[in-house]
Amino acid sequence: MYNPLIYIPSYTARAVWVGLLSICGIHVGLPAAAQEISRPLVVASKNFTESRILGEIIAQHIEQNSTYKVVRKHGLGGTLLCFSALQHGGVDIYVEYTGTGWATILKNSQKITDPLQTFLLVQRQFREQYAIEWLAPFGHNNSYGIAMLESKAKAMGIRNLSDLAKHAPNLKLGVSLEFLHRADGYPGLQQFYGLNFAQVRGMEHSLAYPALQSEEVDVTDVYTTDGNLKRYALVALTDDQLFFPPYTAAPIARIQTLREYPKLRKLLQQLAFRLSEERMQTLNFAVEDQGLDFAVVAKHFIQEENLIPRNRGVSSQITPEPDPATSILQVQNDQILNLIVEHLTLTGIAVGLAIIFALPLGIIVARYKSIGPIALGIAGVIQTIPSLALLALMIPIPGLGLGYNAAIAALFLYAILPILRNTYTGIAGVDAQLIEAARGLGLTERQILWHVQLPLAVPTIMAGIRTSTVISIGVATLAAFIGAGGLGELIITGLQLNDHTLVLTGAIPAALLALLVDSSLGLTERWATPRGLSSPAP
Amino acid sequence: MIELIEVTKTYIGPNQTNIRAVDSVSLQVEDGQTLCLIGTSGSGKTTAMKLVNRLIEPTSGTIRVNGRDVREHDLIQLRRQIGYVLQFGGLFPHQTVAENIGLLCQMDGWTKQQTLERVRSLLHMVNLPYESYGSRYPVELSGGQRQRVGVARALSLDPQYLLMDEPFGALDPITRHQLHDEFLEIKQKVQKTTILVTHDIKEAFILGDLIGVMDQGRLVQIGSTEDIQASTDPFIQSLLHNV
Repeated sequence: MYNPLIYIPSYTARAVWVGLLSICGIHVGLPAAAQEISRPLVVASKNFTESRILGEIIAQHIEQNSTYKVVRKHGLGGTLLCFSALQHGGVDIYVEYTGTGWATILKNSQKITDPLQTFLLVQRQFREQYAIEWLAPFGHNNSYGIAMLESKAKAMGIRNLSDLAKHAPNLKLGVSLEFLHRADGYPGLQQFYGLNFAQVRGMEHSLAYPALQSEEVDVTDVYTTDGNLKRYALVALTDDQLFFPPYTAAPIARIQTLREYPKLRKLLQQLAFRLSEERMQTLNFAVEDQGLDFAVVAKHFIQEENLIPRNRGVSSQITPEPDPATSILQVQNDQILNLIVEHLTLTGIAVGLAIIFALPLGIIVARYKSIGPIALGIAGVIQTIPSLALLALMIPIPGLGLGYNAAIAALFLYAILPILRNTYTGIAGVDAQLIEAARGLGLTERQILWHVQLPLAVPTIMAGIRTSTVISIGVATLAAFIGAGGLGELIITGLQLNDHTLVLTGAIPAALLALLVDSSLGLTERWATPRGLSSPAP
Repeated sequence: MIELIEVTKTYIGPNQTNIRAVDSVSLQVEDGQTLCLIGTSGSGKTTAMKLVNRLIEPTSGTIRVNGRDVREHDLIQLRRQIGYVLQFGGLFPHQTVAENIGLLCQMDGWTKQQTLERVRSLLHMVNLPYESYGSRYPVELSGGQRQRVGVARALSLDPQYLLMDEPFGALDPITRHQLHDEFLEIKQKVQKTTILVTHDIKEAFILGDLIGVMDQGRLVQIGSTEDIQASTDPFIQSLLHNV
């Protein structure tokens, strides 16, 4: 059912790989720091199931077989986010794919189809350009593929992408945004096969499967190791003219890190070539369809592969596995309160900082009106940056990095505009006659500001703070993409697992939180509004 | 004493033309006198008044208060010596009646007790008992009551001078009549040197010791009620006949 031309490591190829890699190993892993390092290794993964499983396998393998401590940052939003975090030290190890490394990170435009050649080229260029090492691959190739409902493909007689090109004008395409825009994704494929779909839509990938079922879209992009292929009775169409480059999965780490943790390279080599596409599909399927926890799936894998020292392996084998469904629910019940607190803390700090910054700025801007359009313009431009992009932009900034600080910085930037604009319009909008009265009576400019303008602007300023807070609560759900926690964790995990209950478990509290905060700020607003400004007493 | 000496204020109007809002006006208001400036809208009477407390700066000429050029006074101190009453009261809507009246005392560093006593006596003077009006907000007052509070606020620091910008213009005839009487009563008691701007010549005759008639930025005539009534100037004649 899979593209037969997609690379599957044969035993010969495997021998070549191992040989070559061991040479590279000797080459690079030279000066090993003598002392043990206590700083934990940060193992990250991207926001899709396979990346999480592989990340978790690495994390557990390191924990079980060395004294190194591990911190997990699972489900980070996208390649550039992970890679920039790896470069800047926020992340120590994550699993990357050669095709992504070649085109997205190194930005090579020429086409490459041989898996081994790709790996070696990518490895060399990463060493030279980034001092980052590609360790031995897991063995499977998770390439892009194009899939549709098996029944539909049969009915229309579509077996490969050339067939698809003939029928494309009657079909609707729904693909992930990343696939829609990367050169080696849809734009390249479209040209290569001459595809002209009736409709092309970019969407959150986990939403594409239900969309296929309900026939809102007919064709989507898949990974060749996708567990959903089985689950949704999809067929991946053969890439008969060889468009897709190889996507060999391998752990990557800074060479510096490998020096600091001398056993790390060997540990990661132990994971090499233990996976095929089918094996990976099964692992993905176990998480996405059978609802098993990543950690449980990773643990099973490590046990099956005999990667655990014998004494520990035995004990963990007799430990009864908790029922996966209830374990996820229990985790939610315990965590949901924590996540709400996390969410509110993120929002609270960000809005607090925004008030400290934007309120005085608004006052200054209202006084020196010539800088008004500039300040409001800058704040307005920040507001138009998509939230996820803004989060990603924060990561390389020194002192922010991955997680909490970057999320707060991004939320802070979002919260500025409503407070700044409302402070400005609130003060500038005070009746000119009242200002003249105050001036004529002999109040100083400062006294006019404190005793006339600010009190009269309070309702407008409060409304700005209220808007900022509600926006922040919404945007904070995206903070989970960069590992800052909050209710977004549940939403994003739920989307990946296509688990509507889990999505709602995150989304409903987030919505209620927004409503609750909005109404309580509404009350504060009424309380803070000077009595003479509200409707007259009877 | 307030003196204007050859004072001119020009604005750049549309089409880059110079508009003389106040055109070489000279006048004197002796201590304790009330000057009523009268004219149609756009005659420059309000502009002339605002030159005194420097809400507007003249293009040329000299304005003296207490014998000293206003530019030599400390601006804030100058304004605190000159009470200011606006057409619609100009009360601060977020402050109570007592807070509006006491604001300047508070800014001037008075104690709470001193301020409270001052507010009480001023409210008493404008016939609004502190007990029933002190804690009201401006929205809870009638037009006449707002105007009384505006006068009380202008008098809070017991200034020597008073500028009043059409203070009774927006009121119904009965209330206006009542406030005229109260104004004369207060004037008797406190003896402020006052410039009052109005477009109602009857009001000017009732309240003014001195009446200045303005038209197109120029002071057409200044004098007592009798002088004005005896005038043969066609503009003044038309003002008199419109009554």
